Amino acid sequence: MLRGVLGKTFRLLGYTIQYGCIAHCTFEYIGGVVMCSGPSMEPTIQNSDIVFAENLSRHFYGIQSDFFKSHSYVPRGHVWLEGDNLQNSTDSRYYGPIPYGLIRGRIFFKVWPLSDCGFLRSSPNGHRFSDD
Amino acid sequence: MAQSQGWVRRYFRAFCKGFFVAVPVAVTFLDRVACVARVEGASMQPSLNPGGSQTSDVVLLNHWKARNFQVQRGDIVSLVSPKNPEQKIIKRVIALEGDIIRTIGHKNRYVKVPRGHIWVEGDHHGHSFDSNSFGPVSLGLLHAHATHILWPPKRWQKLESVLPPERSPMQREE
Repeated sequence: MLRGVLGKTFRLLGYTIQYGCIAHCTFEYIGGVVMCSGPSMEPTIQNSDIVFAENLSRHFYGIQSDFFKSHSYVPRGHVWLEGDNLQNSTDSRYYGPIPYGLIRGRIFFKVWPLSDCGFLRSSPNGHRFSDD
Repeated sequence: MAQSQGWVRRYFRAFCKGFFVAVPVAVTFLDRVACVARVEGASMQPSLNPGGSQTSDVVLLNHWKARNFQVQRGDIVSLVSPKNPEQKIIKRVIALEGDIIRTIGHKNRYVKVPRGHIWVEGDHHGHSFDSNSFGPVSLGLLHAHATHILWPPKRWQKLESVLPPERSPMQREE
């Protein structure tokens, strides 16, 4: 009787650890779904949209380009971030360029709402970029 | 024949089962609890790699201790390099957010460490690529605490959290 209960407890514990670890590996190395809040990425992502994020932080450093942007220099190993909603976004214009190491993943696919499901559109502020 | 096929299948199934347990558990343990790493370079002399280039110490990196980004002045930590995200650097925490620090060779003589940032330095001044060249680093880049030297065996020791007295911040934020 006692042995049965103990065995069940250990098996449950084992399964919990196993699936917890599988979940960790998935979120850490593949990606996951994220629910967004806040207005800073409007109109590309609205408040409470659900998006899919791929966690490429381990092999997406290939896009290193040191570029000048509105007279501020982006140092090596850093990126310049801006919300699409320029009037209502706390971004690199406020805290400066951020290191690549802080990037958690790339968001590329919107899952919810279903009416707007699909790959994310390119930036509405594309004219602000300069590649030289 | 059928018996040997059954044996192969059983073996294959056991292998898959073990594989799907062992690999995720090991990866999660190494990511979240602790891992080991070899220290390269002279930037942390004399605490690490005192023999120069002939020897390189192996340290235990405790991820669990760094999970809430709690660090103290004097701790030896590993960080993702702000200049190259594929590289990890190992440095000593000199100042925390809000502290005012006198720099060595930075463009500003005195720096106030901004919110959510720390100031890190190698113990070997002048031979270390640290906050004196790239400025305060974001706490988000913190990777792990270096707690012990594991290898070579004669150097086995706990790494103490000591702040060099001459590098103590001019003004501390309590």
